[in-house]
Amino acid sequence: MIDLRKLEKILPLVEKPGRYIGNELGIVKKDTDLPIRFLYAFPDVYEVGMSNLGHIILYHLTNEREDTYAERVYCPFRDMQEQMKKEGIPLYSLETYTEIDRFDMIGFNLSYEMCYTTFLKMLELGNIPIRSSDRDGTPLIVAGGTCAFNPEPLADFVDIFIVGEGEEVNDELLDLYRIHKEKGFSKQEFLKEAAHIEGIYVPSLTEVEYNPDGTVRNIKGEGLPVRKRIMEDMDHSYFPDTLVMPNIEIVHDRIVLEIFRGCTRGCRFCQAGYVYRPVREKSIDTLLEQAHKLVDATGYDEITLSSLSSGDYSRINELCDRFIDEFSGTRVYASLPSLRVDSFKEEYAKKMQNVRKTGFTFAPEAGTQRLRNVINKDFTEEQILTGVRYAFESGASTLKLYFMIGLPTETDEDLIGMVELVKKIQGIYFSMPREERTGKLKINVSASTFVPKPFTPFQWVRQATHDEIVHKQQVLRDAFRGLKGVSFAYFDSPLSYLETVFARGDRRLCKVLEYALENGAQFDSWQEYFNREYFDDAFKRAGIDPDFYVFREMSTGEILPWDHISCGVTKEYMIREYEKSLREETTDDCRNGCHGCGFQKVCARL
Amino acid sequence: MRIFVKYSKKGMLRFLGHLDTQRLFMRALRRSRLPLKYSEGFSPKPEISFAYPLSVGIETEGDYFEFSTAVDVDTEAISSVLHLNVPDGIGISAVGRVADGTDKIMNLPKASRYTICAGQAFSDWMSGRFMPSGSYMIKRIKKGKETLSDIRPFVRSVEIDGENCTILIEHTSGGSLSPMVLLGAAEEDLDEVFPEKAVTRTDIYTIIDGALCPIEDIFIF
Repeated sequence: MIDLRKLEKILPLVEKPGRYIGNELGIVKKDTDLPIRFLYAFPDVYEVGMSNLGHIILYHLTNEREDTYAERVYCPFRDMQEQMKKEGIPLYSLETYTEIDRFDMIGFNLSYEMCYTTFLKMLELGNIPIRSSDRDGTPLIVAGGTCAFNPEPLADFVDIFIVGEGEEVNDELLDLYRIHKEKGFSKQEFLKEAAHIEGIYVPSLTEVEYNPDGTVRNIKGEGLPVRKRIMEDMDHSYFPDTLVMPNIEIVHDRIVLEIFRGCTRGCRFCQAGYVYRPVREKSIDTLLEQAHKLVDATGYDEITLSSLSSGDYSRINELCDRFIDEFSGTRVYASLPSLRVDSFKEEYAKKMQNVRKTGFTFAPEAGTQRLRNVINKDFTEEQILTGVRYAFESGASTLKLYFMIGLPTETDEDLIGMVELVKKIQGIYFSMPREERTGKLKINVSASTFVPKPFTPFQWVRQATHDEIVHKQQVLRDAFRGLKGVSFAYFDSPLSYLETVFARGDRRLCKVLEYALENGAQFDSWQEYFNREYFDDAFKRAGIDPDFYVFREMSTGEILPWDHISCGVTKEYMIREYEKSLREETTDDCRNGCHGCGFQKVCARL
Repeated sequence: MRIFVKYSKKGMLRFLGHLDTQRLFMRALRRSRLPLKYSEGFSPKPEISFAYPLSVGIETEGDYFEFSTAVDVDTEAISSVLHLNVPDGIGISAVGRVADGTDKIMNLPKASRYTICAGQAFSDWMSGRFMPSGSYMIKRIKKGKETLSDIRPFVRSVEIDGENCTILIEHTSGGSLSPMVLLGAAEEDLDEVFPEKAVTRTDIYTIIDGALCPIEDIFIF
């Protein structure tokens, strides 16, 4: 345990000391001399980490084991890091203030490429060598989450990746660890056995060879290919009775209840839409039971029913009616975000969104039908406008519209189409009789830069160059100028550029991350801390040209750095979808007919 | 029914700021499923308010908040259900009703008693330097501007028992004094940093019939 007197001395000197004190309601208390000590780590600050219900559920699940004590840790912010360094306090767990290098295993949740340096920073703050090869015994560094689908840029740092849903794999891994620990732990022997558990990837037991042109020639080693783990039955998956409750305000300070996993739409830019297949719903009874548990345990008065596309829940009307019935008169409100614009004419949309009017968000993503066909965002302009009309009629005057720029095949015409669409939306508002309009029209248009992600049909496509993006932003700025009630926001492209590097990268990038960390990079997704120069220098020192990962059209014939990982959707299907996109052909929602993405057998069982 | 609660906050939770403490009790009340009275208006909230804010880092044995229930509830039942819904480090010391017409809780505090344990040097400074002086001017930064202000009038009395220094600080319309500021003034004057400083608020006082008494004295059990 760290010296608490030192900690107490520095806490008054930092911002939001509540981040670092633990002692929350609902934490698990156990003996610290149990056979296995596990640490759930989230590479961001407390408020962001605690908003992620997934690792909290896993924390409670792991603590169901009698032989294991699971604790939590988040990344201290810079002011706290400085104070800790001054006092010689290493990174510690929130439950028992134990130094993180004292744990058997540390499990990191990696959900975004730009958290990689923060992940390394946490190891450094815990006095743990960042390279796997420099660590003899424990702690073992485990990582899961969306980023585990292309784990290669972290291959030199992480001992074990968990690909897919962690509930069952974690248990199997801990069982195996217990056996190894009892007979005398050898990291090498343990990893060799672990590599054969389905869903587990041990990068140190694999080797990558490259072609002279820099592309991958060959990936071979223990336990390949790695197949994603899924839980088929969402109704019988573990759900805790109590939850750790944050003592300070967190980012999503409400209940976020997942209603189903996966998505049937197949938007071609969307990684989540492919890696979380197949669609698995929770039943309405399960959802109500879980909602009650969470309301009782947390005292929150707002439940967000979350999913990738809420309107696609098979019995959405019944779900909404039963939630409204169940919680009427209790001052508990349910809301339904992530509604597609084409589901807006439905009664439930009004019911669920009326509770607290905060405005509506639509994501047309592209400005013309042609480009929407390319990306398979298959609703029509008429559907968008109908949705918007319903939104205005139900009393909204603020709309958020999300678009992407730099999409494959995009031209200036598509950009102008975006502006035309916004004008039509504006027109709908002003065509309404004055007395029916509420408030003042506010359309917030935001355009983010397209990032090609692994395990999407666009994984081969290059990202738009800086000059192209600047041009596109200029075209839009000019065209949006002077439009009444419309504000246009666009985002810095260096971050999207690096996101692409690490999303499509291979293990040669480990060096870059190591150098970037040395240069001072951490919290890269925090605008005020991101510094492009940390990375520019790191690429130079590593002798790596990042453009190779970003501006190269990859060929469908080449071996991709993540080809040894399987998300269940076949590469053939991805190629088919990619080719269809170039022909501007759409692929219908797969509930209306199977397209054979690779999950046919699983879907037949579900 | 208006309910007053006296609570303690100790250990690591003393680093929880005032707003977070308020939120913590708000949630505890909701989890307790008491028949809370909600405010009127567009987004109704349980009516809950606190007696007097406490600086981050100070423990308390006697802080207060009030809330209202829509129907009468047994105060002992409230006490036991609240106890289950707060984290370790928070204690519910007393729950009581108050007489109709009692002023709002934030208007009650007139003084706070603190125990400061910062070593013999601080105790000596308090008795030998601070208390005998008629005024004690320090530089304080208010709204980004440095101003001189007299902190001596806020300290009504001091009792010294070796290294323990118990002080009564007044809350006036012109503000109040955090014991942390007092400690800082002593450190600056003595040109030393006290290695161990433990500060506890032992109670908040109001005036009943002209006499200063803990707010708890107005509770009806």
